[in-house]
Amino acid sequence: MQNLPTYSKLLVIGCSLLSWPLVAEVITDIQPLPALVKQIQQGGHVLYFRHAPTEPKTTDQNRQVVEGGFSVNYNDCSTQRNLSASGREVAADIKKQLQRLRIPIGSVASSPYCRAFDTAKIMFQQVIIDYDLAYSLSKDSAESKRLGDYLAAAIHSAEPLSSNSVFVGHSTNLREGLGVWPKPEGVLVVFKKQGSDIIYKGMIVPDDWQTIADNP
Amino acid sequence: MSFLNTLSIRERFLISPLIGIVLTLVLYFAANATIQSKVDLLTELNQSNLPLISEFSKSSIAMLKIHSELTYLLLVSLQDPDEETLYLGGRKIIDQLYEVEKNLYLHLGKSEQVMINQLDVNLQIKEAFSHYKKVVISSIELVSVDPREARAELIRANALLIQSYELLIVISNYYIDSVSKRTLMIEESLAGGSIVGVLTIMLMLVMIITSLYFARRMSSSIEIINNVMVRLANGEIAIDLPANSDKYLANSYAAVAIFKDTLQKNQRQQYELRNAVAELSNSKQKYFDLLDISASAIIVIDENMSITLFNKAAQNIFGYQFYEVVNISLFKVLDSSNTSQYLAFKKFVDDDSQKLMAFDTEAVTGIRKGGEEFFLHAFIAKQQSSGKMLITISITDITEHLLAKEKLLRNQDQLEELVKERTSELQQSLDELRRTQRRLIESEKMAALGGLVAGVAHEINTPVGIAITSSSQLQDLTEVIEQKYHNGSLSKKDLQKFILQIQSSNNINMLNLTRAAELINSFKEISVDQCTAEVREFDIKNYTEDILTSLRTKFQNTQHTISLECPDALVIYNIPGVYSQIMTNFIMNSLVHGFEHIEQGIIQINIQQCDGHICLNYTDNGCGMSQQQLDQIYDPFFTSKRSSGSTGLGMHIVYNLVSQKLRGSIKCDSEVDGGVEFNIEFPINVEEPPL
Repeated sequence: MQNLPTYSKLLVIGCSLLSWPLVAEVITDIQPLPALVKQIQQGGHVLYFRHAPTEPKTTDQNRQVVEGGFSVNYNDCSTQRNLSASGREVAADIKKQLQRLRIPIGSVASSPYCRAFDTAKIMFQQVIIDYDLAYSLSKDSAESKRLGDYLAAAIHSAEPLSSNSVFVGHSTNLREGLGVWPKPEGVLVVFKKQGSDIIYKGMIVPDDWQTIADNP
Repeated sequence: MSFLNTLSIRERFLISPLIGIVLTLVLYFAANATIQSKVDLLTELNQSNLPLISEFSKSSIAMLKIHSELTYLLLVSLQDPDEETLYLGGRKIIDQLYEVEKNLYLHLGKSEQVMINQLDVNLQIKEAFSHYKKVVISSIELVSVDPREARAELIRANALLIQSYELLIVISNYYIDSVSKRTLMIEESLAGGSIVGVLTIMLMLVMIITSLYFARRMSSSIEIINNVMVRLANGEIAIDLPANSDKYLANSYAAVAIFKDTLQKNQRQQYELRNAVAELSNSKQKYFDLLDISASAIIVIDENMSITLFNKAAQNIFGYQFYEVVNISLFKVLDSSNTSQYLAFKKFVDDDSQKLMAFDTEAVTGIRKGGEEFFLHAFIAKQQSSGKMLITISITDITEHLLAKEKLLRNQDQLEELVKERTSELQQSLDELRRTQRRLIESEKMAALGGLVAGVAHEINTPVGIAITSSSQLQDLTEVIEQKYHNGSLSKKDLQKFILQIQSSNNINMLNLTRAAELINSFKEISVDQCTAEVREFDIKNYTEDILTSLRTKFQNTQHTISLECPDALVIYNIPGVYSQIMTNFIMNSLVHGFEHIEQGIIQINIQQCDGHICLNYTDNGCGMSQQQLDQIYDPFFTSKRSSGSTGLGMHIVYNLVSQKLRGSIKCDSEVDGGVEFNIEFPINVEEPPL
């Protein structure tokens, strides 16, 4: 029974570690756009891109029943809602702006969905597919939550120093994981880890890149 | 039936309850099985069909709800196409969709496979719902992007929803049908429940019948016993007892038999008792009659010493009539002045343990009517009769008896005087007789001695005579030779002849004189012993032979033989003179009396040592004696040869000598013409104390 305090401590610590994504607080600290650009130019941030705009009037087709809901066939982009032509342009433009602004880019992880992966490929040179960044909408509540939590944990565990860690994914996952709805397609959401908390610093919508370019 | 008879009463009484228990168990299981079958039906109904129908209904309602929410979401998207808002609404719908799907699949999994038109309805429902779900999700995905497209999806979803509904209605109908059927079955089986009722009634009937049967069966034997007992108790003793075939009622039957026997005995005893009572009344009357005619005077008194009975004899003795003494104190007729007697009497009356008392050693004084006193003996008996104490006094008048006794005592004194005188006279006669006896013994001794001397003289006479003859012949021859010598005509031949004659004569002399000397020696020994009672050691065999030698002359001209058997060198320490006289008497008796008419008499003497004693057996084959003679043989002066000069003291002396001098015993056996046998036993050492 003398061990009880020890066990209790271990239990508390263990629970804290395991449940940190649930307790981790997202502190909103919206930065003005120029300041935000400056901050991401210095690295040390997590940049979450929602995939670029997609073809209207289309949805994912031929959904397969998987554990926790439906999934698309990742290898067959024809059955998915894909980037529209303008969406590809948006992505290419963002790539230019990123390069122009010398925003340092570290690791890039992308959803396996074609529209996300295509966006990432347009923007960045090296992309890793992370299947847990898949679109959570068609999943059941448990799986949807799990994917959200995973994204939150992944953002929290990224340790960018001089560069920024990049995730390319979908709107619903971010909303599930960090309570932030990225809008519209192609938007960049900026986070900064601070201790156990994540600071939400603001979004840069595709149109903002033109503004930034216009006001250097 | 025989099985029943082997059971004990208790076991028989247990049969009915046991059958009851068994039947109840049968009923229980039957009812249980029936109930269980219904419960199973109900359970089945409850577990599957009805819940499934309701679950399907629930799913339908949930789907309807989802669809209406989706429709609402779409409407909202048309007005406020905010992606996040639409997402949150959509997310909720999707979650509900998955939930509905989960429940639906779960219950479809529970459902049996329902085939309609060779199609699996369950599978069709799953496919339709899955399809519907996809379209709904697509619709939600589109809603934030393109509400118009989303509306188109919604219309598709509508169609799929209807399809799902139709299928659900199909399966629900199927289950409703099934429920109806089962309900019908339950109703039917409820009708079957009446079987339990019938079974119950039947089992109860069986129980009642078996109970009645066993009750009747068990009580029949007891009833028989009961009837017999009642009849016996009512006095019908002559009835026959029923035969028993029941092992465990054997004791009861035996008890009834014993009861009957007891009743019969009682009846006999009652009869005997009545007789006895009658006899008793008789004997009571007889007793009173007897009391009156009894020679003894009998007085009965009560506890207060008052006279209640005074019989005739008592009236005679005391001179009172009964009416004169009835209820008068006893001490009017008995003297109470003797204190010790009075106290003893009072003590007897008060002491319950004493029943009988006698005043027979000491005379009690009675008082006659005239006041005259007399003596009496009284026996007093005490008895309880009907709680009252009665004392019966039996009285004997002993006045005359006492007088007679007194007279007797006086006579007795005179008699004693007379006896003394007679005794004195007798003593004198006895003394005289003894003196005579002694004289006779002496004279017998002298007679024996005389005989002996005559015998001795005769014995010695022969050799001495021969010696004298021989000597006188030699004297004659000597004179002849002397004459021849003086004549000178003595020849050598004459001398030789004379020498031979001398030698022959000398031999004869020597022989006969030696014989004479021997005889004298032996006679001397006997004669000396006869005279003396000297105690000395002697060889009994040699001594007996000497005695026989001394008596040889008596047997000289007869054919009688004497044989002696005796161990050699048996030396005894005793009185030889006495022994010699005993043997002489035996032999002379045999010779004189036993062999009187017998030519070849045989005397056998057997002497043996037995246990420190000498056992001498003397037998002859003479004429023997009659029993009368045998009884008198030791009496003095008894003889059958008085005329021949016998004194009749011989055996008397022998008896005295054996018993007094030798300290031994003598026994004689004889029969007429059967010879005589004497057995003498006397100690080897006469001076040792007798055994």
